Amino acid sequence: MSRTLPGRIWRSIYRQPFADEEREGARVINDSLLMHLHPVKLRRHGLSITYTFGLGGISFLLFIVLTVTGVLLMFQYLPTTEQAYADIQRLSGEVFLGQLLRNMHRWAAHAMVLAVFLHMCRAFFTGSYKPPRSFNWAVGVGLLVLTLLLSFTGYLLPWDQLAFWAITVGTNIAGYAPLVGRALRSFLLDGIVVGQGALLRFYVLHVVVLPLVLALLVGLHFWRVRKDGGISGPPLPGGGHE
Amino acid sequence: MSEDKKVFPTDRTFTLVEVVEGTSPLIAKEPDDTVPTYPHLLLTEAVAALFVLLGLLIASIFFNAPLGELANPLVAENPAKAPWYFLGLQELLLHMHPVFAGVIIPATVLLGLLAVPYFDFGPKGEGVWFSSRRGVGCALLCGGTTLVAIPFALYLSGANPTNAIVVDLKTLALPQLISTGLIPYAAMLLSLTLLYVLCRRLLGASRREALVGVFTALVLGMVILTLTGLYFRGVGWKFFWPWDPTRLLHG
Ligand code: HEM
Repeated sequence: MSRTLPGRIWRSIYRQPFADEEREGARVINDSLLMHLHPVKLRRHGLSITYTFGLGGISFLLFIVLTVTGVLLMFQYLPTTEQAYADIQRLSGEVFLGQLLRNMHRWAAHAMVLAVFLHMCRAFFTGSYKPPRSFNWAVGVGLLVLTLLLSFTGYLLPWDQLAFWAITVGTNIAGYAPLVGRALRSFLLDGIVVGQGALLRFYVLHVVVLPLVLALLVGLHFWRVRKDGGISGPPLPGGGHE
Repeated sequence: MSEDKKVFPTDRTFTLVEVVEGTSPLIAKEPDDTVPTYPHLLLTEAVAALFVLLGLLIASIFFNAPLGELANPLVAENPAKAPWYFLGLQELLLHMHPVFAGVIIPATVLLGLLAVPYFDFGPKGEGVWFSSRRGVGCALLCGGTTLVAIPFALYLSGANPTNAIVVDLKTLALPQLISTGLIPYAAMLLSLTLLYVLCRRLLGASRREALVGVFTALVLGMVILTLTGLYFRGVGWKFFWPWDPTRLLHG
């Protein structure tokens, strides 16, 4: 038991003192939640920045930023055709740091689409989809679709001209699907045009359904990275293969 | 106990728990190239995260998210643009039947992505960018072809009042679904197949290396179409230079 209060608090969270040697470092991982994300040791190759560019991690970080800023935005926003636009205007004008909050949410959303796309390209170009990672690649494709849908549903919420017509164009495209197109479109819009029904549907999808599914799928994705033997890499020189 | 001592003459500190298939970083330990996660990986992650957050904060201080006029169903935006990541599809929509541009092509791309690991499953080339020198060659060949072919096709269509690239498919005496749908769709698949065969034959590429080429073409194609929609399309979905002040006339 540590004698100082900060020491006792530290020990209640981490079971060991601040780690400065390898054995202690191993325990930082092994004795904490991090164990479920990272192995205690990893191949030097996986550390190389030019291998992954950290893009998966960056996608995840942006998702967290989007969750935090998104929840804060929810305190200031009502998804009705009368109120939504005024709320965004108020946010940009009167609410303390409201404009910054909205900017961060918007730019992080663009950045996440980009990061996820680049992460997919990285996984492809390094052959990281090969067995045993084929399934995790498929999970990734699901994540890409979800990321696009999240961004798309969020696009309508400010209820301005840009939003309205972008979603009109976008859902028109969905409407062309053979057989199910019309049904899909009217399901998304809760009607035949973009209106109150559509705003509510997009809102619920955007703040509850899609983030929840994405978070679950990210959990699966990370778990599979560990189970598939960590980050991919070239065969080991000793003839062993990863 | 004595039996044990015979089989294991030393005082072993380990025991065989289970034989697992496959591999982990600890199997082929010669030479040991592993490093402890803490501090190496955790510090890298922390620093990277700080940089990303800093960049985001700076961008958000200096650039405001756009906000147009209040939504008005009676006044169409001109041009009415989808969100930027769908602009490639919107560009295709101009040239192709909507069922193909909006549904069948995206579905083909997604299914293609899902299928890749089930056709290219050999371990060779894993863990190396572009797999090999020849993989880089395939990427350059296919990427270069795309960089020339797609802008050229866009240029041809821009010079033509009907947006046709070579022949106006709409005027063919066929159902639209075939003339402006199936035909250009087949042409696209054929071009990608051709690139694949070219990599295999011309560069002697393996399946994986040729796939690297095809993927490069696909990604660059989407990027070019997206950038076209974002920066080169304006009022009436016509071609403009990005700096042309008349490109975006709202309302
Ligand atoms: C929300 C979206 C996503 C998140 C947060 C995410 C996160 C991650 C993270 C943190 C890793 C560890 C390695 C790294 O950072 O590169 C990883 C690996 C991987 N991801 Fe993703 N990912 C996402 C989307 C995707 C997509 C769209 C694909 C492909 C279609 C994909 C395929 C893979 C594969 C194959 C690996 C294993 C790579 C290897 O072992 O080298 N992921 N992902």
